Amino acid sequence: MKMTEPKQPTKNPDDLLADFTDRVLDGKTAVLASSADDELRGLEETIMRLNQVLPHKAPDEATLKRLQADFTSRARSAGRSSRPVWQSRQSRQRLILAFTAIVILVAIFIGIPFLLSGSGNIQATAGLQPQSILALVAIGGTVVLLIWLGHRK
Amino acid sequence: MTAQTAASDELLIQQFRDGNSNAFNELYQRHLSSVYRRVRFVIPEADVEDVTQEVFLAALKSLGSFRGEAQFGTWLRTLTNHKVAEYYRKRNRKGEAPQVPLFDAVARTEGNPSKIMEERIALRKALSQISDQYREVILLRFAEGLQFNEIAELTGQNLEAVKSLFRRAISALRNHLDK
Repeated sequence: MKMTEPKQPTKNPDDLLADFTDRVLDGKTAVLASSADDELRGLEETIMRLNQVLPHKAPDEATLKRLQADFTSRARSAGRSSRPVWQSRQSRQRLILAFTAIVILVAIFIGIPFLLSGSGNIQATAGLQPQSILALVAIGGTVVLLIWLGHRK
Repeated sequence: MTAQTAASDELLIQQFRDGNSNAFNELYQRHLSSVYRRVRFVIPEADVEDVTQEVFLAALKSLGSFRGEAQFGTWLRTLTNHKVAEYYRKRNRKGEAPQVPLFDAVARTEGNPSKIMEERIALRKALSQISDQYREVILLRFAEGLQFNEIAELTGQNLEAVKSLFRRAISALRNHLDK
């Protein structure tokens, strides 16, 4: 919304100063408003000083392009553009996670025959043996654990 | 900054996290002008580009820790303020005089360059002495060129409160200039 000249004069000094600032920044005035209020005139003077002395215009296209090229080169030389620090940290975490999963699974699969063979000779004929159930629970537990770890930030 | 832009920023951040480095270039292009203007308002011309680039390099480095609790633009403003503070801390440590290069002053053609240079130093010093809240509203209006209603939307205040804050900020600035 563009601030425009109010149709009726406002008494509020906040509004008066805001309107004056809008006019100054829009280049619509270069003189102080004829305010009888000394304090307000002082504030308007400060607005004029800020506008005249400190640079606040948007950079031109050439500057923007130059900055963009310079930034690309700085980011590249800092080794960040292709792989930010946090991203490589994330990759390391994934690697560790994958390695852990493989080790656990290998251990389980190596352990299953031993568990089964050590279980004795006469077992029930129907259903899973307790050792198999144990192995399945271990695998299931590992999968759940890995999923949980994977979703942790 | 509109809600739609904020959503797009979030999307770009997500794309960047997924490995698309072009997404950061888009963020850079989108926010470069406002960061540059903010830096230029408070830092001598000769160092504006360096500080601006440092802001974006820091953003690139720490974008992974950006949680999206605030808008990206707001986060970037905070980062810019930190870099500006760091710039002045380093200068003070080196014991450099608060000089502004001559071409900085000459860039403004009106008036006496040395007088403008003095004015610029005085204004920046006064700006650094007022409270963060006051400085921020002045930067948003002057340096970034946001309208008062846009500042109200950004800061979650009503328009009257923003105008009142602005008047008090200018008043505080004036008091410091008069000292």
